[in-house]
Formats: sequence, structure tokens, C-alpha cells
Amino acid sequence: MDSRYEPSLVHSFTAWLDSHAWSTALHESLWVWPLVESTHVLTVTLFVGVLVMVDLRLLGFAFRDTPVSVMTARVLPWSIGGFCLMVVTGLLLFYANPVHLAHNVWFRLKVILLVMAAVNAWAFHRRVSRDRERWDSQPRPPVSVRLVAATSVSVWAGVILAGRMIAYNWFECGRDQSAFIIWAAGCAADLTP
Amino acid sequence: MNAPAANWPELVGRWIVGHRCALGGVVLVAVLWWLLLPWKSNAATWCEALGWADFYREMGDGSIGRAISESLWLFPVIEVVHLFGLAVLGGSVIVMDLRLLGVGLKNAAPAKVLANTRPWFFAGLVVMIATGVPLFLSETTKCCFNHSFEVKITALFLAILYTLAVRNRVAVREGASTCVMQGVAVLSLGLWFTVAAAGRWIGFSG
Repeated sequence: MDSRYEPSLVHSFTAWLDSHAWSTALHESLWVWPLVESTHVLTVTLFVGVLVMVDLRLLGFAFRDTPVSVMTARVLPWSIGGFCLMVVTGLLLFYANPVHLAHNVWFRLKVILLVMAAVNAWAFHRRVSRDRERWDSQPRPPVSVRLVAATSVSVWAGVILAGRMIAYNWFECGRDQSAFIIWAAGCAADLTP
Repeated sequence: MNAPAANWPELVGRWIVGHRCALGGVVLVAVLWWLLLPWKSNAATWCEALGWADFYREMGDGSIGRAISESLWLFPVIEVVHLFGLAVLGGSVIVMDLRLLGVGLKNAAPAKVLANTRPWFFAGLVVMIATGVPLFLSETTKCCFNHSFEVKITALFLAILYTLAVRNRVAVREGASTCVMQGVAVLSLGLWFTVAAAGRWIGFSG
């Protein structure tokens, strides 16, 4: 390793995770890794799918005569349950291959999109707490609410896109990459050609 | 009427009787999986046994199949849209089946929930088939010898038939019993789960 190269905090942390025997065991497992990964993929239906049904209500495209409060009270919790399963399986998948993922541009994009989704969810709850009574039963909620719902659908679609693309090694460190990718993936100086 | 305090075997018994249709659904799904899983042995796939391998290869030799398998990014992009379809299809199936199970939108009439989820079910299904066929065309020979693929396609036909012929009819029928609705929902979730799980497993096998 180049003596001038200082590994980043992210790199040091993930390298430490990578050194765990359980991380390697999970990564190399014949059955457990595929089962965890499949659970992560299939939970898209429970988490994103059910969330989309709530968002379609907010957009005025479905359940137009069901109050928004009924959707958030009766349907949204199932989506949140799916989200919890996503987090658990997602963390396990990250633990199985931390250094590789931390330097994967798609994974980094996914993390950025997750932060955007969190900000959007916070915006939604702020918006809801202000004056939901006024538009709770409206078939088509106000434009600001519809905007939040459209953002939710778009950002989660982006998360699915970025998540699926993690599997492809087009922008991997160590291959002949542009300066932008080397920067975006945080490739170590000694890994770049 | 106040029932006398029951001991736990009696409570378990009552619960089983109260959920007999849902439990029947679980048993049916278990039987389905018990029938399907041995296929993952060394036995020939239907495609292989019926001598369809050449036919499958010819399908993959068309312009669509070749374009996708020769492209670096076409397969992943189509697959992402396939996943979008999965989310919408799965979400609509789950919201409807939760209602039939007596949770989720339990205070709304099943027919109303169906009217609101059905367009999205078909939208998701159309997206999944429109992307699934090109994905299949890009690797027809792999699919011919893949047990997960035949499990997925078999379960898909069963799931579509079952949803249209049984589940949706029960959802619109006035006065369907709670017990029947629960059993119908469990079988629906089991069938669609089989489609999705076997579909994911195509990528892990062969």
C-alpha cells in the first residue's frame, strides 16, 4: 500500500466488519445468503408495494372515497413492517460484503436516495400534522400532498433501481474507470490503475 | 352470554376451529411446495422431457432475445422495470388479501377494496409480463433446464386463474363467510409468493 494513502473512516470501518468470521461465513454461505437476499427482494411487495397503494390514495388515483387517515392507520403499518424486514435483511447483506458495497457507486446512490426518502417521509408527516382534517376525505388531496406522494413513489423506484444495479460491476474500483467514478466510489489510490 | 373461563387446550381448539379455512389454505400451500420442491432434484424439466429444448433455443434466437443477451445494460434495465411491476402487483395483492384476512382495511367492503386494487393488479401484471417475456427470450435455453423457471410459470398460471376465478369472485360475493375469505386469502398469498420466490430463484439456480 502507498504510504501516503490514508484509508477513509468508511474504509477502515468496513474493513473491520469484513474481518469478522461471520461476515465471511454469511458471504460464502450456500443457502443463507440467497435466502436473505430473496427475502430482501420479495419484501419489496410488502414495503414498496403497499406504500405505493397509500401513495396512490394521496395522489387521488385509488381509494378515492377512503379517508387518508384510514389508509395511514390501517394500511401504512404493514408497509412499515415490511420496511423493518428490509432494514434487517439489508444490514445482513451489507455485513456479508461491507468493503465491496461501501465502494460501489450504486450502493452509494442507494444510500443517498434512502436519505432523500427519509426527508420526504418527514415532510409528509409535517404536512399531515398541519391540516389533514381539511383534506382527509377529499378524493384528490392538495397539490403539496400529491407532490410528496409522487416524490415518495419516484425515490423508492430509484432505490429499487440502484439496489438492483449493485449486482453489476460496471463501475467497480480496480477496473479502468473515469476520474468521476474513482471519486464517486471512493476508490483507494492503490486500487486504481 | 358469558362463556366459562376455558383452559388452554380448549382455547387452542377454538382457535383452530375458528381459523379452519385459513389453516386449510396453509395446508394447501404446504402441499403445493411439497409437490414442487422435489423438482429441484436431478429429474428432467418438463421442457427437457417433452423435447422442447430446440424450440426454446429457436425462440431465443429471435431479434429481441439476441439484442438483450448481447447488450450489457438491456437485461438489468428490463429487470428493474420487472421489479417495479412486482412492487405494484404485490402491493395490490397484499392489500386485497389483508382485507379478506380481516385485517388492514377491515372496515371497508371487500368488493370496494377489490374495485380499488384491481386496476393496479392488472397494471402490475401487464408490466411484469411485458418485461418478463423479453427476459425469458434472452435466456430461453437456461430456462428450459431450470426447475425454478417451471415452478414459477406453473405457479403463475395457477395464481392468475385462481385470482380471477376464485379470489375476486369471493371478494365481490355478498355474505361470504369470514372463514372462507381467510382461506381464499391465504391460498392467494401462498400462490403469488411461490411465483415471486421461484422467480428470484431462477437467478440462483443453473
